[in-house]
Amino acid sequence: MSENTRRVGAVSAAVLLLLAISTVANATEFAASDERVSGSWRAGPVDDGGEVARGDFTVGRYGVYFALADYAAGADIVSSADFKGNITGRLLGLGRGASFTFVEFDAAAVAAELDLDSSIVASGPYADGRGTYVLAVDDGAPETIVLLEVDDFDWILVDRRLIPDALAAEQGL
Amino acid sequence: MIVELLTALAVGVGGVSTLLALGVRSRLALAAFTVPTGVAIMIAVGSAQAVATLQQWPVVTLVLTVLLPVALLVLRRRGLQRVDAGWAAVVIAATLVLAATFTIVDRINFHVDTFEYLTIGLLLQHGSLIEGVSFFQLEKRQLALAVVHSPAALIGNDFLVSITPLIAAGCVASLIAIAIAATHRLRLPRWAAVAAPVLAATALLSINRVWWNVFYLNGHLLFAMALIVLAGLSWLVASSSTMISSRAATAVQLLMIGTMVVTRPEGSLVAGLALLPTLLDGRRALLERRALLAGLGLSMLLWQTWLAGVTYTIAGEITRSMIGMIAGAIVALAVVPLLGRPWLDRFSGRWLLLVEAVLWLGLAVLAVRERQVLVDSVKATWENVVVGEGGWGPAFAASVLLAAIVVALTRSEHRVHLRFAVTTFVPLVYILAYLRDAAYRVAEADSLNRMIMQVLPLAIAVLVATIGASWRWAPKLAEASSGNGSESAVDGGIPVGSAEPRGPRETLSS
Repeated sequence: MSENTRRVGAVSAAVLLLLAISTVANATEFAASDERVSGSWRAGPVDDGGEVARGDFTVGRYGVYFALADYAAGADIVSSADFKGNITGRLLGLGRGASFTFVEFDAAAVAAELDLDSSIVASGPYADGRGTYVLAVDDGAPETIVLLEVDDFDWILVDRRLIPDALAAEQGL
Repeated sequence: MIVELLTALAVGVGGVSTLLALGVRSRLALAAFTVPTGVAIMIAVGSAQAVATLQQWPVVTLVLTVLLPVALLVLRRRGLQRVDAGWAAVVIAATLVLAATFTIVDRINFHVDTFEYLTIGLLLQHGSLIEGVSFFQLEKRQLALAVVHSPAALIGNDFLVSITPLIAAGCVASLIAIAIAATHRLRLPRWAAVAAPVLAATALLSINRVWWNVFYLNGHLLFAMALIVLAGLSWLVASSSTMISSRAATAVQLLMIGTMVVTRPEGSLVAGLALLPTLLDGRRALLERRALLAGLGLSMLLWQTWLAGVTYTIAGEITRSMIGMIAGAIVALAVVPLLGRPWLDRFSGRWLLLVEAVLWLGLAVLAVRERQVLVDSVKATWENVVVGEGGWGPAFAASVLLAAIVVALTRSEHRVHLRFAVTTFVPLVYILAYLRDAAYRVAEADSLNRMIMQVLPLAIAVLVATIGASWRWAPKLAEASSGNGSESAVDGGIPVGSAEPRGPRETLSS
């Protein structure tokens, strides 16, 4: 075995070993991190506060969580949830034909994990007259998160406390 | 499901046809680069509509994504008889199967930024971009994500569920192709040749945050795919891989450059840094190098000028970063004729060192002027990456550290083509914190925490390309020291004469 070959072989072996160790370590951590905190959500029209759908969600630390919600009223609503700044599910499509105007999460169940606050970064009318949009950023820990439907366009993640009073009144919140 | 499959079909047919038209015949190259190429064409077609008309039509985008490459393939039919039609069909079928699978899985992740990306798409489709977009929205969110999800509008949805996982698959396939090429040039034992691509893929896919990104409606994974293909093709060409010709690689690289420019605000900068080793590589054909830099400059100029025009129309002003990017585009175009000059090629290693040093120096100057932004940003990075607040975790951080040590202790011919975009990414992102006037923060949704995904596949490719390297303190390998008077692309070693066209062929088994 030549000197060059020996050196190259040692480096190659080191790289393969490192890739293998990384795979095992990351996968182990991934599996170990899959600690879930469960909670529930409910949804309903804001005008009377009546509940028309409810379901469960799962909160965890690292991001890939598969928590199917129970559907009610045949609504294609929250299919799963992942907090810490992210809600997972078919939320964007909710506004289309859905009768819900908010989804409220059980804050007590996620208090330890929930690190979500919102501040509105943009709002205003859409140019085509379809209504008002509100865009928010998450950073904090509110007690209630509201998903606001705006004129059949979007569902938008906002903290109710940060919605301007005028807009909240307009939306019936 | 139909629209998801139609989009995948357009990406698959468009990608395969383009590669075949470019003369690519390697099965591995077709498997690895079909999705990146198809997606890049789709983005180019959609962006061209937006720039030309302030509107974008999903049907037109899908149709042209197929028709333009097929027309190119027919026009270049001279080599068609050598096309492995069966394999091309397999690649397209695999793309469709993946899309169907991910559609059935029906999984997405998003956070509030996602809304802004998709809003741009909806405004473009409704022809109300000028009236509806906000001042910073277009500059921050750009066009690419809106375009790739635009076919969803055909059935009244706002996004596709399968395109992001499909992009992830393209990213992994590109990494595997690089790993196979890295081992192919060596006479490794069979188990090692198999283990390298497998471990490269598992090292990436074992990271929880990667899986989060696989389903995340944002542009980070798209950017990662374009970056690994851009840098990976530079490395393959430099390594004289038979997988793809230099000319075909150049064409695909141009598509990736365009994709990066309209995917992320920092896309042009990262693309420029990723290209730099190639631009200074005297062994790459001068025409190709000039084409790459001209492609970057022109796409930057076109995009940023359009962006400035839209922003001025809606707000009566433009941002400093737009002016800077337009200036950068002009500089890039002005440098095109200078490429190939002996004072550039002969000292390529030193130029690369200089650029990297300037980035760190620039960061140091900014830190002296305003220390807190850097302090807070580094603290946030520590919390996000090492402590795990950003969802990465200590095993990932330890892996990165060990990989960095291995790469630092070794030198490898041509590895700089992969490495340069990764190591310059570090000072660049902290400089960007100053440019945006805000430190990074402790949160999963923090910008830098999400941007890590953009370089992660390429970083693993750097480690994979270290297979066959030699320790830094060892005497230089004979293969790396034959010269023609210009500096070679030996990464991690003292610049020496240009290497032979072939990479080192060493053996582990003899």
